Amino acid sequence: MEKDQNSSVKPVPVIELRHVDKHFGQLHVLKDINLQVKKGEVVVVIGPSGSGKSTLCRTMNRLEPIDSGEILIDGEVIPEEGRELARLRAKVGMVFQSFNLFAHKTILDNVTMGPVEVLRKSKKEARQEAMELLKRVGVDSQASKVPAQLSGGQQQRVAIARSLAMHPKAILFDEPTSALDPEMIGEVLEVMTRLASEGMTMVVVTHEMNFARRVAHRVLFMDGGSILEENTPEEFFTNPRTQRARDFLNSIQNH
Amino acid sequence: MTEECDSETMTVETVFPGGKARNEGAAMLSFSLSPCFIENEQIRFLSYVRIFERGVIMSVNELLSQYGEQYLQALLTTWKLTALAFSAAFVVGILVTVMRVSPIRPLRAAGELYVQIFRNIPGASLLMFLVYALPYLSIVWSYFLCVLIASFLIPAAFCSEYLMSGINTIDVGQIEAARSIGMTFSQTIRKVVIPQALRSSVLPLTSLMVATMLTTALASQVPMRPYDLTGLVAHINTHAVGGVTAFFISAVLYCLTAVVIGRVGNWIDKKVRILR
Ligand SMILES: Nc1ncnc2c1ncn2[C@@H]1O[C@H](COP(=O)(O)OP(=O)(O)OP(=O)(O)O)[C@@H](O)[C@H]1O
Ligand SMILES: [Mg+2]
Repeated sequence: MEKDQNSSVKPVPVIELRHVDKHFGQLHVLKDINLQVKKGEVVVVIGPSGSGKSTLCRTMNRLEPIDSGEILIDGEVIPEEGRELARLRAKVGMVFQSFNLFAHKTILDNVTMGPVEVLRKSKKEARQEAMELLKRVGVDSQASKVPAQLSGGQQQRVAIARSLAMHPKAILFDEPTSALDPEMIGEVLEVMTRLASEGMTMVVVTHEMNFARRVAHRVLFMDGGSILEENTPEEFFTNPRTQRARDFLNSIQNH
Repeated sequence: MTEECDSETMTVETVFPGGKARNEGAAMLSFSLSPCFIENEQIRFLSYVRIFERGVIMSVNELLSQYGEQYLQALLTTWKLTALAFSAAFVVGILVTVMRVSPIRPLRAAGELYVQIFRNIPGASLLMFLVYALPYLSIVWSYFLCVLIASFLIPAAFCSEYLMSGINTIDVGQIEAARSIGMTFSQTIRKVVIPQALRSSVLPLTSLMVATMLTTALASQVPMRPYDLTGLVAHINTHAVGGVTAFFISAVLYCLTAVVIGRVGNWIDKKVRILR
């Protein structure tokens, strides 16, 4: 696997956060977050429960508003609610812990919904491409079923295909394997690994340390709403700089 | 006079020319005492007198041979009112629901207000308002239209309630997923929220359609022509001794219609139900 930074690095980062702050009432859930994700980069976010990883992910396509600071997608500041926001959001895919497929639509229609509604592609073109994507994630044989008829692993792979159908600049994964039975985790991680090797820009919140080690270009360690450590995976897992990261790694190794 | 009451009630009609100039004579009546309320009271009285005289109530056969055609027309009128009222209730119910989930606060408030008002007033009062109060504002609608409006405004509020509970079964994650692929608020509502809410409310909406049909019996409270199923019963009893039998025939027709609606509803529900 190619783990070096992509050589054709663009000057403009795909995702950039500048001094982002966010509160949930009294709780200061994101504290002065600064972050750049370059094209083709895979950033893994690790941290204890409640440290703000999901919130960080969700602010990146503004499913959560922020109190102050700026978030830029492809050099453009994410605007307030509205059509412009919808347009920028389409550039950043998101894969959720609970798959969140549209329950009333077939697998195929789940994947074509975005291209047809948002990108205004013809149904025919969208279907064709959706079938190719479903094949890529290995669930093309399930195209005419509805989500409830699929296993969790299959549903999550469909969710990835649904994101890919929008040709996003980056995909955010929020604990994509945490809701899966152990035997299905592998198939999803495999698809993600393939995506990474194909040069997709990815931000992945995960507890899968082996995946982080193998695939990440960079590891962010979060605790209490701050990014405490930013490191290469080799360094982070063998020789973490902060005591908190060390404690955290010990605690998960003991499980 | 197209909306004339029957001959027995002409005295009533003359004293309170309700059918024609509602803004004058009829408006003097209190809302609860419509001409036809009086008409119905008279009917009842006259029926008793006739039963007493003849000692016989007409059989189903007699009634059908004499009034069969009118029953058919009344059935069609009830169907027409039901279909129109339910369709209108459905459309208004969806609109009100969209308002209630919209991000715009005044719209949400307006939607809530609609439901609070129309869920909590009796259909008869609403009809009396449309028929006898609106003429004061120089708004005189036909009896048919008044009955239609009274029979859909209220079911629309219930329709919205059923859709809201359907919406509450949708996982917010799906809505976030729709937004994350760049769908706008209105696209998310149209393509994800409302379709799922509709699919999970087929059975309550079926009951609502039956309830709407029963609400259209309000037509018997105003001199609407042609008669609906309930209005016809009142009419028959002013001319003949239909008695309970006349009611019975209408009741059977209501029931059969309700059974058909229920069957169709079940069938649709099976087809569109969301597997979870
Ligand atoms: N909508 C919300 N309203 C109020 N507080 C919230 C909300 N969402 C999250 N929080 C709080 O913000 C903090 C960070 O939550 P977040 O979900 O980002 O953590 P996380 O790092 O993803 O945790 P986990 O590993 O359990 O998923 C938590 O204390 C959580 O309780
Ligand atoms: Mg989380």
